[in-house]
Amino acid sequence: MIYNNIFYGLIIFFLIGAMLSIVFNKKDRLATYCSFLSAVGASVFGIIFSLSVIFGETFSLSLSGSSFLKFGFFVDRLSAFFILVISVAVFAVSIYSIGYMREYYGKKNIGYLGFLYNIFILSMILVVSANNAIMFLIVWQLMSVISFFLVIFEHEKPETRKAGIVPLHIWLPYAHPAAPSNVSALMSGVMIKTAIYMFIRVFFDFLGAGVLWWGFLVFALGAISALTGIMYAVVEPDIKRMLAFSSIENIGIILLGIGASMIFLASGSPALSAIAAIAALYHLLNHSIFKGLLFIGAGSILFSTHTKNIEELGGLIKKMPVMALLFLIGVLSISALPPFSGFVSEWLLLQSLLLSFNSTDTLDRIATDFTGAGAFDRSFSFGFLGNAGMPSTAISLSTPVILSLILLFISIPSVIWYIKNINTRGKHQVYETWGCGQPVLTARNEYTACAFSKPAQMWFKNIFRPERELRASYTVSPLIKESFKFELHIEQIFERYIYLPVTDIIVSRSRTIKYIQTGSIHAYLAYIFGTMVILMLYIILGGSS
Amino acid sequence: MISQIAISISQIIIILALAPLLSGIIKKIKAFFQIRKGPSIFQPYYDIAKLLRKDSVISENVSWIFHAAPVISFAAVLTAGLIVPVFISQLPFSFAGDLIAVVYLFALARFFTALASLDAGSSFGGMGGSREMFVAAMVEPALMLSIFAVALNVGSTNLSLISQTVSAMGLSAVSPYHLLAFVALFIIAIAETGRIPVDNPSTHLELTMIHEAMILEYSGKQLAIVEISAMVKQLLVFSLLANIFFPWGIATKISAVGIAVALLVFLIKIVILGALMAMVETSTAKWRLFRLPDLLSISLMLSFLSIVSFIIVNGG
Repeated sequence: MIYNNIFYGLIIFFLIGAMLSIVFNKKDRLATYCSFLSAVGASVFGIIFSLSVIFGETFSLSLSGSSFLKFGFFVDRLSAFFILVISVAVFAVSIYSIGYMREYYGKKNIGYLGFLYNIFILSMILVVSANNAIMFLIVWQLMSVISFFLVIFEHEKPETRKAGIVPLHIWLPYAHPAAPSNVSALMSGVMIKTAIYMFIRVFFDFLGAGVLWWGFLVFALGAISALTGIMYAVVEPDIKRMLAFSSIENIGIILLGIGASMIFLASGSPALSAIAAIAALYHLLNHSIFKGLLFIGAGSILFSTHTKNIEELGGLIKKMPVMALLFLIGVLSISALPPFSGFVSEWLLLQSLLLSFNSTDTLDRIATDFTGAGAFDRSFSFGFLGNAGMPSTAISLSTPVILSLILLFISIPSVIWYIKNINTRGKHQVYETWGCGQPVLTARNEYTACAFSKPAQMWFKNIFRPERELRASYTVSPLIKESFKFELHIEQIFERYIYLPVTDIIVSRSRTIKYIQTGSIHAYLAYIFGTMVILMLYIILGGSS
Repeated sequence: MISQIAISISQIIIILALAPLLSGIIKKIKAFFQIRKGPSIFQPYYDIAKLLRKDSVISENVSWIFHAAPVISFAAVLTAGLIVPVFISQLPFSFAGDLIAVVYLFALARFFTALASLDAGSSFGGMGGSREMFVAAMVEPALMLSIFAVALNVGSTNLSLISQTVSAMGLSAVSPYHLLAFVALFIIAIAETGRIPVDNPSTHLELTMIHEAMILEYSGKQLAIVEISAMVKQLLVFSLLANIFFPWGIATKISAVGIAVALLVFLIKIVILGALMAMVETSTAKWRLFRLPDLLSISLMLSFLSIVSFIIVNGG
């Protein structure tokens, strides 16, 4: 029953955090420490709990005794994996928040934020550990409502109010960045993963292997979302919004893996399906960590420069050297470059796709590894951290890891040696960068982020449809310009061509059926009665045929 | 164990020793086609020796990235050198990485070079970095698809296994999909080694340069390291072309005669590929940056055709 205690401990810590922050909401510093330290404590419990489920056995706990609906918790290895992902991210982000909240001292009600923060994380953990669909939907709603309040926490921003309302992907790039950075880190890094959890539960657990075309559909959606996500990330000047676009991309990559897994499962190759699923889940874990890191980094940049616009930033590596190094690591991971984690998961995903086209030695070997170790059933791949899949997973994961180690082994000592040498021996001369004949090189001479991504923007100009406005004011001669004003607006193709028309249609249809909304309770009762009659008729007729 | 270590070390030494020679040979062949005398094929060695003796001039704006980037790129390229077969197909480190890993290692080198290009704050550097990333965004999907085509044929992305298998197949390995995949990868090799029509390695004209613009701020020893990395990368790309598609002659076992023959054959193969590259460079003009998607989509299509013909031939 130690499991129960750990799980209760986790919940209680979040609740204490939430309550204490409300109690101390007049005292900023105290509220900060109470809420975030208890979140840290809770996340430690979460890590211990999830690891013990992953390496131990399934946990279940029922709360109400009703025989019809048993409300409670059910944590198998899949749920435990998600709890682990959430807890690790929360652990890091909460520690960071203690310092980051200083920005809000005296400006905002920190007790209120701490309350929302704790309840928000708790609701995410409950979402992945709910034992039935109704419980799941209730905590899911709770999570959505809380995240709405978190997004509008900094009300003065105009985009936030409208953003929380449309609950589909277009809100993501507006909503996540609008929240305080520590919360954005959790939303973009972790919250969107609960949707993946639901997806896996529904498609692999409730519906079984499914039909082949589902897999292809998911795969195609993943590909589209990965491509559009990264395309908009490339041209986005707002650093936090860019990270949110990149989350869309990474969700796309995860969906690619899950789609591939579904295809393989439906076409009867469970070994490949397991590899693809492992790749997807591993990428999910990696993404939550490096996206959390990058949002935290963006938060620190915002904290010290008060701007999110990449065009206004520059030279930060000298002012914030540690942050720059950590941010660089995050960027390297998200770009899937060795020796960082993103590389390993993307490598594994590519391997699973490549292997699919030929069933030669390699695949047979892996397949026998898997099947030899344990029979496949519905829950084959999501027990992947358990014993059955362990040996071959370890082999396939270790391959790029070893490569990365070699790379680190070569590069780190040589970089240190080299930089040391340069700095101590003094056999070099420091001089200004040539400024194209200008007397002094200023920030205005530098290449801007907009210019850097210009080729990509030109390449996809049919999709971006950039609207440009160039205004110049001249001096006496038209050849000498006094000032330039350049504006660039990039269109959100999904917003313009899918969402706006659809909303228009829905709004106009709603107007036409408005007249049945009389506002009278009798009318509504009549509607309910009518519906019941129709349903009963349907069942009777359906039963007879 | 000792022989494994000896193979790894000698492979790295051979790569480092041959890389400048390949550059010199390509320059010489280009000069021949352009009816010039051209510098000696050993000129790149002299250049590097000279650069290594010189002091650097470093911009006052740079951070540690500028200093670290050449070394990290060099390390990444050398790591790739441990897994690309050059004269022997069974490499000790072949278990540590495959063709995809090589692509990502090159991407790492490119990432740091582009990052360093922005560090000094000069607009040329940014221009080069921006263009390099643009080209990379087109090259990498094409490269992945051509790898896909190659891997289909052998059933693995492990480079040692690929060259071993193709080598054992002998001339029966030559097939439509094999040749299509070769041409696809050759087009990518042009882009990866920064040659005409993608980039011009011998220009310093701001409107056209890509790689040269990125490394404009480097001088002295740092420039030497940057240049060696570029040459090693070029040799590795050539080795990939030679030993994936035409690995015949490569040593499959450790034997003195086998290795000696393999080295000679390897040298002949890269000289032929170098001559081919020089012919392409001499006979075409540099393309506009925004026409490059056309070129790389040709490569993409060829890889695609290779996959399709593989499926047709093998009744997939």
